[in-house]
Amino acid sequence: METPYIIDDRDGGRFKVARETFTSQEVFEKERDLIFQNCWLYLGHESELKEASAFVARTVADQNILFVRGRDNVIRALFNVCPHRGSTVCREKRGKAKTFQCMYHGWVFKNTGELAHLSGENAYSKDFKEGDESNLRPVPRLEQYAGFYFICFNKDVEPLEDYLAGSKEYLDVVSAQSAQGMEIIGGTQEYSIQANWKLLVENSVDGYHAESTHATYLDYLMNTNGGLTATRLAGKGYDLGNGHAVIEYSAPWGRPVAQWIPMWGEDGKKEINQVYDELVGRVGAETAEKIATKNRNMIIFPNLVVNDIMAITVRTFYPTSPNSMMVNGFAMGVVGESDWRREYRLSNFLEFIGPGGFATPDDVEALEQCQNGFKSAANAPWNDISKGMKAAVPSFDDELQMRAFWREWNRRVSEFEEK
Amino acid sequence: MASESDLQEMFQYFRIQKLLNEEAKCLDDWRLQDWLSLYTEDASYYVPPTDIAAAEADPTKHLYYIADNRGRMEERVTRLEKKTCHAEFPRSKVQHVVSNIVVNDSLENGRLSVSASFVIYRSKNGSTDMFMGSYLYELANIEGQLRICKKMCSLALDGLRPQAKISIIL
Repeated sequence: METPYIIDDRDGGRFKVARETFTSQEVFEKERDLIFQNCWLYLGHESELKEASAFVARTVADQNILFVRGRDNVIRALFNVCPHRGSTVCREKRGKAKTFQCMYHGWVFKNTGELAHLSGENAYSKDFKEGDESNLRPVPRLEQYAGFYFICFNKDVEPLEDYLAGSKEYLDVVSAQSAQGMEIIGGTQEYSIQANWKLLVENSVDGYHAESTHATYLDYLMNTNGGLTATRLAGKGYDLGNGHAVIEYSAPWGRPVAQWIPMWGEDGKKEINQVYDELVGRVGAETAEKIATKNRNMIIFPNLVVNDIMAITVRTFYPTSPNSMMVNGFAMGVVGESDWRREYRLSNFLEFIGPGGFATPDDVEALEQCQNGFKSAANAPWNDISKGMKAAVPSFDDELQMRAFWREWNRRVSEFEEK
Repeated sequence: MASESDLQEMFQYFRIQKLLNEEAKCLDDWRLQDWLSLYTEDASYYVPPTDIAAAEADPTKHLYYIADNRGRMEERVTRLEKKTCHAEFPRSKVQHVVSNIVVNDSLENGRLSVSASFVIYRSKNGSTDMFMGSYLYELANIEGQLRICKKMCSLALDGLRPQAKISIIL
């Protein structure tokens, strides 16, 4: 690209992003090599591997990864690629397995990655099986924080906890919702969007678009609750360092932890009060109020979204080309919560989030329309994300979150050019 | 010669086919209030996840794409009728094709269980998305009319790629 990727004019209060960063094949390749190869990327949650020999086969940044709790109870991330000739070894999405057999030449691996059976072993040299080279290759780094497992393809990356910076505190807020722990609920929303992946980053922490993009959702809340509750959309945005950012705000929708709405009736009120009281007893009134009544949309650079809103969604995505991305969306709930609360959590999730919700389809439309608009990038070259740039305390509906992301993005992608 | 029971079975099949075709026509024509009128007061409409077997999926335990009770079905229609339903404004062109109707054994509650196959085309913004899969209906006779109590749409898709969204009614 001949122009800069971003214009960050702090004195003038202007922040521009070149639209070509959403369309260029060159930028897409730089992102692949400099961002997705070097950053910590979300792989999965520990609750997805409850028992020994449980596995989940997942694609992360276009690479097939086996997330597996071995027979030795150790959680590993292995490249789901046969060391022999490169075929994908495990072709099921999840399950339990003590071994994995490659379909191509029948090599069998223990669920620790070790080669267990080599067909035609006599034709190989004696020590062939012994070395690491014939085992499933582990991803260079795997670390976890609060049950969230991340991988990195670069073995020299900083420790996960350093990388997560201020976002750790907000992962803790999610974990603190329950003494029993949190879990991913079965059923994945698997979809793709015909738009650049960074549009979904921006959209996931955008407090500015709610009233126009999600007008029908806000109408729905009003219809179903006999007028909006007194709670209005209001809050702040925070830069959490290293490209991570969060908005924290109050909102009129119900929260399973723990904001009651009239639609939930008197039984729901009792349940929600109990949840609230338990929180106060465990973490104190101030923290309980924050956990229960504040919503948080967080981006962990580059591609993990943890939105604790009318339900908790964990969403990760990666580009498949400059103008398309793969998305996986999960719901997170409290381990051992009551049937009522689980059902309403899921119901609350679906009213807004996901391909069939009352809101996400309109986000998808917006993202695809932006991508469409970027076809004019040569003639209409700049996006603007200046909102609230001069504000002493940025509001949740300012664009601080996007600027935090883009500054880190720019730092990482430009590094290449400086060398 | 067809027996009395054969004739009854044919007549029932005809009524079911007529109802399913009518539903498809309502949806293709965007007559959504008419679509709602084909459903009972306690109706529900589901689209289960694509990574859990249909027989195991449970909307109270798993994350679905859609799990609407009657109230939310009405709200869905209300939303789809607004210009601010951006995903469907301007409205997409929709074509439902319903086939392979099979009448299953009657349910314990006296309702009919009916399966069918669907292919749905949705065209907008210069591209066409396809949704395919099978319907599982529960039908009931309400005051002489056959009505839908429950509709489950199991997608024969490995995720919503590239469809991204289910902004129409399947």
